[in-house]
Amino acid sequence: MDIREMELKDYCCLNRPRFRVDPESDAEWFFGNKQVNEELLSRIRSDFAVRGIPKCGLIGRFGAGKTHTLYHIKYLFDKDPDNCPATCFFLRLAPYDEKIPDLSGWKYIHSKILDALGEGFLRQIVQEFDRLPEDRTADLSEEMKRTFRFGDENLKRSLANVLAGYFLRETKSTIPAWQWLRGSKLEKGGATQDLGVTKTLENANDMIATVLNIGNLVRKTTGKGITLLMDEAQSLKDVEKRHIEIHDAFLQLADDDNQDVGFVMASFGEGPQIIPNVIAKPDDILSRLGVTIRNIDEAFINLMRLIKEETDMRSFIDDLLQGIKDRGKAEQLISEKGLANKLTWQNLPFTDDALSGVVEILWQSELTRNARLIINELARVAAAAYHQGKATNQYVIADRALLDSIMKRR
Amino acid sequence: MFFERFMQAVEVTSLVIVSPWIQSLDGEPVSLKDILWSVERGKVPTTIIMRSPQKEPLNRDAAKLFEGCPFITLYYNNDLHAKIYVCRCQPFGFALLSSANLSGQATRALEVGLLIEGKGAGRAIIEELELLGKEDIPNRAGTKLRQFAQARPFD
Repeated sequence: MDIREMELKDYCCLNRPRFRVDPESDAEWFFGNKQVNEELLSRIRSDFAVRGIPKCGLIGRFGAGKTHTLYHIKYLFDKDPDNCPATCFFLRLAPYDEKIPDLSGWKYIHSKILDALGEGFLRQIVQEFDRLPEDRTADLSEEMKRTFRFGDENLKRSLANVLAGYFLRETKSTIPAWQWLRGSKLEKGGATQDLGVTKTLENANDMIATVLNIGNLVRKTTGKGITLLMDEAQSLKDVEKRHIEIHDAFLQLADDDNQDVGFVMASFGEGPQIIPNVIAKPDDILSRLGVTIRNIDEAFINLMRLIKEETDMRSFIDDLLQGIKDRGKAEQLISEKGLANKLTWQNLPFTDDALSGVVEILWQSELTRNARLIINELARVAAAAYHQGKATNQYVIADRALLDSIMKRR
Repeated sequence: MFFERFMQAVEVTSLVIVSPWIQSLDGEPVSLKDILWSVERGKVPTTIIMRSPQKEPLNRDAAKLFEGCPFITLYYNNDLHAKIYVCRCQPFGFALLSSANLSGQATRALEVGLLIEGKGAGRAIIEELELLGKEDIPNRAGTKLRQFAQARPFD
């Protein structure tokens, strides 16, 4: 192909439209220091064994790979359900703002949890639960109520009626059910009668009990728990007025009594002070996670160590370039353009020397030892080679000289 | 409206302007010089894609202004018809998807646009629009690089 007619995808022989890693579709990859991955897996395995479900966190700077790691956890759970018996649901805790009622308090987080579970999942669980016991004598609602372990009798009865009445068959709108599940105010009279509820979700206690009861139902139906992958947990640093209710809700999630609904929360920053106060103070939540503020790293894995040594950065780059490359196309291009003595299919369009240069430049500052920045810089240099190539209609290699001219500009 | 808001934005980390025709906007409430003053003051990494001034003489003045700014990466694409404006800033970015070029004519003509706030579901849209302007259109065959920004994004 004529260089002038190439797109960057062709020029770099990418197996995707962009020189990018997508946290969700590339979830199977885990780049960087393998020890961090091992620590994370070890914590998750230990949580399954000790707590029944993962209850831990990730911390790291902007671009360190927190979101990617959350999706990686989901990938691992989907791939190995025998050793990781939990279904993952992803939600972002940001934005949290106590100046705006709809963006604050446990009700806001509760709504996000329910939206992450979604109608499809709830319907599937209710329908599968309905098929479970062949010798069942009680009706569906009664059988569900027996499964629930959290909250008072009225809450259990109301939740069972809502789930059985609205999610078993697709005959009526589930909007009233969702209003109740989210803790929204219902119109007096008709709505509550139709729903068959004897109480509304008035406080955080009722809301968290509802989620934990859904977890009980999921465990009974599928043999698996639920793991909430909570991204951007640093937004909980803004919790002030609603500290008590949110702390208490997380405390119930962390409690040993709950073995069906877990969480992995990812928070921006580094060091012990990065854990939002609403989680860290008082330390009863941390103690349920088996740590204190001193050894908090055991429950909140620090992703800064993903690129701990220069060799980690180089191995990150090597893994990245191979992962986004179409090997067949790269080998063909190298052969067609006579580049075999300058490039390998893995590194194309970079020379080995250029990649050493990327590490040399980015390693200089702690701020640039960062997955997102490394990818951005590689993409920028690759784009520079591509545009020079198009301008001259020749394959321009991203060598050390080109790299220096782009990355050392000020 | 987009650029009035851009002028007041804080901690701007990226500006993307995709518009086939761009004029100096002299005499308008916000001129191109005002925009460039904000870009230089905030050292805002800026990506601009427009049609080549060789093909579109209306773009000549704007191209001259852009070529003097070290924070601007400038591309030409003569097939361009999209109009997209993206600003990434604190606490959240915003974008304008519009029928209007960045020209004086557009301020008087009948145009429509959709201003997107980068919070909630809008955040992913802003990120996509930014990538569209910073990577997808620049890395197409018909796009030519005119100038690379001199500033590194992490300076």
